[in-house]
Amino acid sequence: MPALNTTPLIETDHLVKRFGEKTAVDDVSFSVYGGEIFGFLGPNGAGKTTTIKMIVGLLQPTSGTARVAGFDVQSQSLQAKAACGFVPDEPNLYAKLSGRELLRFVGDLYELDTRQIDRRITELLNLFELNEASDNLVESYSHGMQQKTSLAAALIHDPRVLILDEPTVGLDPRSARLIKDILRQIADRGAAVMLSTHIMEIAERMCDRIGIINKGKLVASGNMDELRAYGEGESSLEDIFLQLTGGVEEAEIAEVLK
Amino acid sequence: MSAAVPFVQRSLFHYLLKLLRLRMSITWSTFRRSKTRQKVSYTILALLFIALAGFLFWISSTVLVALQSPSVKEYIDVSAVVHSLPSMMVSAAFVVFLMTNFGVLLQGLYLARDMDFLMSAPLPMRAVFLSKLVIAILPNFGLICLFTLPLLFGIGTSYSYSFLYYPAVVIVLTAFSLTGAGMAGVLVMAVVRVIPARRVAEVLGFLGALVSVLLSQSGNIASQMGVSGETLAGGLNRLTVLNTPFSPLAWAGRGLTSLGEGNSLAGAAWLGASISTAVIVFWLTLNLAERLYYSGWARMQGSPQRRKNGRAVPVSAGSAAVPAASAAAQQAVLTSVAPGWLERIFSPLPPKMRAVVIKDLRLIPRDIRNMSQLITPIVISFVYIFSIARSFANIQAVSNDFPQRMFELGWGYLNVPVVLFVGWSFVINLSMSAFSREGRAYWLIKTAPIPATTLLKAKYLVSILPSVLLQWLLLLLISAFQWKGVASLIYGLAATAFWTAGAIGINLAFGVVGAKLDWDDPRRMNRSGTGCLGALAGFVYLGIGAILYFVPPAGALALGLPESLGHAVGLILGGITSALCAILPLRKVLKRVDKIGLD
Repeated sequence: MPALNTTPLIETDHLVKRFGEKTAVDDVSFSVYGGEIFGFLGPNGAGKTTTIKMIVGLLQPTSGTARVAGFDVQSQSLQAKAACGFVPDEPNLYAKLSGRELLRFVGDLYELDTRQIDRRITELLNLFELNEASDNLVESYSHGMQQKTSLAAALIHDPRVLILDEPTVGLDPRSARLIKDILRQIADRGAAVMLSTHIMEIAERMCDRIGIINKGKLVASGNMDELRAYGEGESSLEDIFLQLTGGVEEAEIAEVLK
Repeated sequence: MSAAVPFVQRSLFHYLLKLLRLRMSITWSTFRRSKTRQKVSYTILALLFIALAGFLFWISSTVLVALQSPSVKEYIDVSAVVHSLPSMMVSAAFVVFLMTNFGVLLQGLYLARDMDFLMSAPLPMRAVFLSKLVIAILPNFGLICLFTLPLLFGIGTSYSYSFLYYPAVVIVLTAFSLTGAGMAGVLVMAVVRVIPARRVAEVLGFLGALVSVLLSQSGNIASQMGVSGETLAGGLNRLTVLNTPFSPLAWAGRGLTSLGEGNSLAGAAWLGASISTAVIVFWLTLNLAERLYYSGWARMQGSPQRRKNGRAVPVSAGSAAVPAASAAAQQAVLTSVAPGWLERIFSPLPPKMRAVVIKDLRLIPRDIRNMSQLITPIVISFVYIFSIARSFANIQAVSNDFPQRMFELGWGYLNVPVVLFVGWSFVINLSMSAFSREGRAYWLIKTAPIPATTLLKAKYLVSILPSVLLQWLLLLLISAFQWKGVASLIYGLAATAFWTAGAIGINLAFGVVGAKLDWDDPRRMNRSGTGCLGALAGFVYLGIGAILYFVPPAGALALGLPESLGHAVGLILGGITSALCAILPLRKVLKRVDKIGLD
């Protein structure tokens, strides 16, 4: 593993988001450094997607700040966005563009020059095995293909920060493995990668550090060794997760039902 | 593991009721959770429908009673027509059921989001199919009954028909609506086997828009085509062929009339034959549709639409797992696709603006749902051009007479407001939904480093280019038939371009304020409040623009002043107004652009 940068590329500082009476994200602070993969875990409705949306500028925080590559997402949004690639949980893409047209559109948005865009499109289509379908409209793609197109769009400008919300949902094992390898390579080149996932195996094997969010609060953050300290002796990430998010009772009930 | 809950097979009716109850509870829940304003609107709408039904019943009874009076019969005897009315109305209702249910069933059977859930639940296929059929046809059934029942009941009361006539009318309409729906269902499944369901829905929307525009312009078209009143009357008379003795629909009408007149035996025989036929046809379509449904659904799931765009050059495999631009890759020149004509035309634009402009200009014509919204101004343009072309010869014949010449020149400037009107309908659809059209894919723009001004400029360009091009094309075609000189033509081109610039400023600003990204149905793309206000503001601007650009040159002609003076005044007055309208509203909403797409 390469040495981590000392300046954080993703930084949240007392981030809060309220929807009416409900506090979806409650005073969340963490940092992700260049060269590391940060896993963001939490039960359904814990506030993972809300936090991610605030970091990429899709949601305005009620209070607190989010910084990407040193830029404040609210006050220096263009600089922050230029440094960031984002893959949402649902790949809503322009259905009536072809994959190639979509990537060219995104390349233009990030102001890459035409030759550079063409080269990146060729590389990424090849990488994600989308070559054959590249001139078909996105509406004809399967969910997995759309997910891969979405990831290709996020990578086209070679971002310093990559944020992915449930990136492996809907992917076949081969594609999931490919994405894991790519994320590792990106991190090894010095970029910061943050991903939310429900799959403990992915988080445990891929991530250098993990943050666990529950009911809007960041209840634990650190590498596996540090998390074991939170987990009161539990050794696997799944046990630590259940211990921290109050899922132990449910696990016991599930055991009885077996 | 505990024992699984044993599965108990129940009757079809049990499952059907369960599914219908589920749908009713969803509808009720939606109503209960809607805003008070919406609840009041729904209630008022329901009361209006009841009032309309009552009015139709009253008017048909009154008219039919009046037609039976001896004094009227002296002039016109419509007894024969009235007797064939039930046949004609049942036939017409059936045809309308067949046509309208096609689209409704396509949506309900193939495009509804609950199909995966229903298909995987332990429910009989027939129950799912029947429930979908009933739910899909209920709104159309209600609407058709709203118009047919009062008329048919009106016939009953005015001719003092037997009480058996009234329930029979309801039974006949129900039977034939189900048969029509069944046939429409089979038709949907047959079509979906060839063309993907979503494409069928898009084409249907386009055809619907085209037909409604053509109907709205039918008066104009008929007068241009020289259709006389006699021709129309002849056409209507041909509808009586629906009352053919070989049609089960006509049997139903005859049965109803016989039953109403007290001839119970004949009535029962005709109705029995008719309803039996309807039931048999419905049963056959139901069985056929069930068989086709599984395979049709599976086909839809398994065969995504393919469409080729561009010319891809094969790329060598083996460069996988190179996500970043490596030094070697940076040296390599990999040109996979030659730039298209759009890329070439817009290459001088800054990349971010170019990206949005090209993307939008690609998406708008490809999504046929957008074209459905743009069809109105295009059809109006063609009708107008056609009418001018037809009147061209008449104008030429008298054009040397001085007062007539004056009138013609003034009249010629009326082309400008007409072209503006066409442009206005085009602009409304293009610019008002400029942001809403992005839909759920807007996150791609929202997370990209594109400033609000650049985005707004790009959207402005996307709106103005096709609108001005259409208007200029229209003006050039008009000029080809009504040549008024180079100065008039240039004035017209400039005036329409300036006016459009202002109209887009207003409409785009309302489009920013009313942007809505979470739509599923493109007809509900814009927020209704801002949509109405935007249309109103645009209409006011249309009127002001028409006056400012049309009155000065026409007035100069009328006063015997040089035409160029009128042009100059028109362009100055109109130009200033248009410039203000193009700039001020957009400046006002610039900050709101950043708020679009913020959850």
